[in-house]
Amino acid sequence: MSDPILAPNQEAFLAHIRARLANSRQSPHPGRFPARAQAAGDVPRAGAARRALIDRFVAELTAVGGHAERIGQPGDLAVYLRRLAESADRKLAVREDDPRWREPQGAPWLAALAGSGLEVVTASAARATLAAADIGITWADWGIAETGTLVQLTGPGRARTVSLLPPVHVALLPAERILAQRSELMRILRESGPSGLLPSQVVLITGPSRTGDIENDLTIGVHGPGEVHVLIIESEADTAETATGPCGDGEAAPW
Amino acid sequence: MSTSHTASGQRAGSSGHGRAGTTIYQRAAAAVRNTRLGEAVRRTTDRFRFARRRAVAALDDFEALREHARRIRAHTIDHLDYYLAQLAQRVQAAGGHVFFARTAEDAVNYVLEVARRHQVRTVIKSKSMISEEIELNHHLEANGIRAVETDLGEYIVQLGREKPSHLIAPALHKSRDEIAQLFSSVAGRPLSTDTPTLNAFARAQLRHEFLQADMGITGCNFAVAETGAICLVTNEGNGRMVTSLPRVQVTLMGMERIVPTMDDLDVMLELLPRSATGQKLSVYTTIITGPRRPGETDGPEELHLVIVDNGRSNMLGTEFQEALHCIRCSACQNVCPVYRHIGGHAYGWVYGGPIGAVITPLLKDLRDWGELANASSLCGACTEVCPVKIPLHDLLIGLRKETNAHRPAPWGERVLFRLWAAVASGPGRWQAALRLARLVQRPFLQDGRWRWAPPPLSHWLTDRELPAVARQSFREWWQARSDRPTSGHGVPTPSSHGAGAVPRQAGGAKR
Repeated sequence: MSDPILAPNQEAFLAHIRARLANSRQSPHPGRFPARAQAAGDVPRAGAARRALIDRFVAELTAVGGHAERIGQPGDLAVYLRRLAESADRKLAVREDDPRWREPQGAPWLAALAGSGLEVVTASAARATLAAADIGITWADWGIAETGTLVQLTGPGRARTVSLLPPVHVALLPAERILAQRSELMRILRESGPSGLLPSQVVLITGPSRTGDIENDLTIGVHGPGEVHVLIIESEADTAETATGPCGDGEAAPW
Repeated sequence: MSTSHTASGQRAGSSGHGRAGTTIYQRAAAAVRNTRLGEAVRRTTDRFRFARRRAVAALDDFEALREHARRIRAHTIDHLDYYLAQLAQRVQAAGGHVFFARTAEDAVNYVLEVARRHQVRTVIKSKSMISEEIELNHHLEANGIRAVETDLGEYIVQLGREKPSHLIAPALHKSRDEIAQLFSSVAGRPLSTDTPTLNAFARAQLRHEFLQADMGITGCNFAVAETGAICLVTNEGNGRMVTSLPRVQVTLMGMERIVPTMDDLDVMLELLPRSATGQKLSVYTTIITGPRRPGETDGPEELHLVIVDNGRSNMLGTEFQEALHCIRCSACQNVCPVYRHIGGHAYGWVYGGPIGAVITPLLKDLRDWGELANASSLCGACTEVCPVKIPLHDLLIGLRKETNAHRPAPWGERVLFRLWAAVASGPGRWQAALRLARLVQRPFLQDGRWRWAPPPLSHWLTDRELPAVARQSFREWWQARSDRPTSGHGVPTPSSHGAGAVPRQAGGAKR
């Protein structure tokens, strides 16, 4: 390593390893190790390929106990949240202070929150308020179709706890952000961000929190949310899509 | 929570030489007699192994994936010094602190120092096998710091003052009645034994701990050298709590838990949950790079990565290096006929099953722990399911050799084998010995089988039985029936040994 700052004990620790390995290994330098061959293709997909991804995402998420709903309008969000609130007397929701709420396309969705009848606070509220919230609302950064997985990144205003502390997590997922495979996410993570630095936390969420630690009896919602609702936002443009997609445009992840 | 306060202190009391004074044979015998334990272990391991089988069958080319994973692991461990240096540099570049701990003591002291600097009173922990290895909870408690395990299984095990008995289902040996009793003593009121009640109690109890703890301690499933990321794989969400709520995060990492790139991480994520629980992906895969950044409202202000050797380097450059390829999925435990009968505690330290029988003697001491290598039937089921293709049963044979090279056999055994060598190396002596055995065996037989014998054979026969030497050997039978003269094949072949020992296959004995 060219970096002159060594961690405490690093030199002696690594020298010991080097000495142990000296007899067995072929070369002291690792060289390049070939990565797994990946199926090539546009990421994300458009048109029919995208519709197939949405179907797969919904099927996989449902299989692990999550709820998926396709919506089109901000009004749909208000209706969904209202139903969720009334079904179990839920009153307080917390949302991330995500820059996307403030973008021109985001504003109507923010307004929809107000129309849900829930009291909605942001993640910068006191921790006690956050911990008392019934519902956490986030924008998902990506979805992964093959496993029904949501991907949440941290960043300014993007809290780790909104999708974690409340017993119900509602995520908004634009359909064009659904990837086919996790390997595509890995590539995107690797290639984006300033100076190759990943966000401080990337979390892949696949269904509700679960455990089998009591006599192998599957239980939902042990520490994290027991309910995960993903509202997939489909646009009319989906069928006539020609845009480059969020990989290259200005709406990319805000880190 | 005063119960958990004292829990780990007592647990750590049984440190060092397993359960003082017992051998694997004694512990195994006791475990086998515990029928409730056997039922519990088989119920959970059955569910895991069948789920694994389905998950693996759903992949296009599992074998190719396995082989690729094996090569990643072999390459990484072969260049461990390079990748650890890269990791340290990347973690520091992301604002984290790195500490290299050669021994358990180094690791413990570093964690205590960080805790002291931040005046930590309560630590919340997500699952870390290495913290069991270094008995961290004991040392924290001894220094006036409460340590609370937050994985539900680990929490149960901590309340019961025990060690985990399975890599991913640490409390699989506990019945719901026992769990309800433990929880009731914390609650100060009787709780019912149904899962929702017990789960709700643990959730509420631990939620309180999450929100007020000063420091979080985690293990590490994988660290990624090229990005400096730490990856945690959990189902409950406690790992996310521990890395989101406290001011300080300390991650303990066995020095081999590293992959070079994000692509390699992806391969491991394809294999680990499938091999462990049969899930396509665990509920939460958390990838952490450095502490919280400016503008973020939660996450630790300080992040420490402690890279621990604690005996691992003993395996480097030896025939046992492949044991460091392990990704701790537990698939080998779930299929092992020995583990399935005796559970994890009988192995005496923190790692059970085939991988535990391999690494425990290597991490600790071959002389005291080498006997664990005998806790295997060498059936090879472990090797067959290992997602990174560690030849576990070959390593167990290697350990047996190594152990016996250091420890001369008892004189009785040596005399016996000399005698055997003398008898078996001459056809005349062999035939004579068979005739003698037919006479001598009579008092020891029951239903045509040896049921007991005088020492030193008695020990061998406690768990096995030996067919009686047949009235007529295959060779004698053949000779009596055949007109052909026996041509000069005087030396007994393995098959003629067999014919002598197993009457049913000797044909003549039945007629």
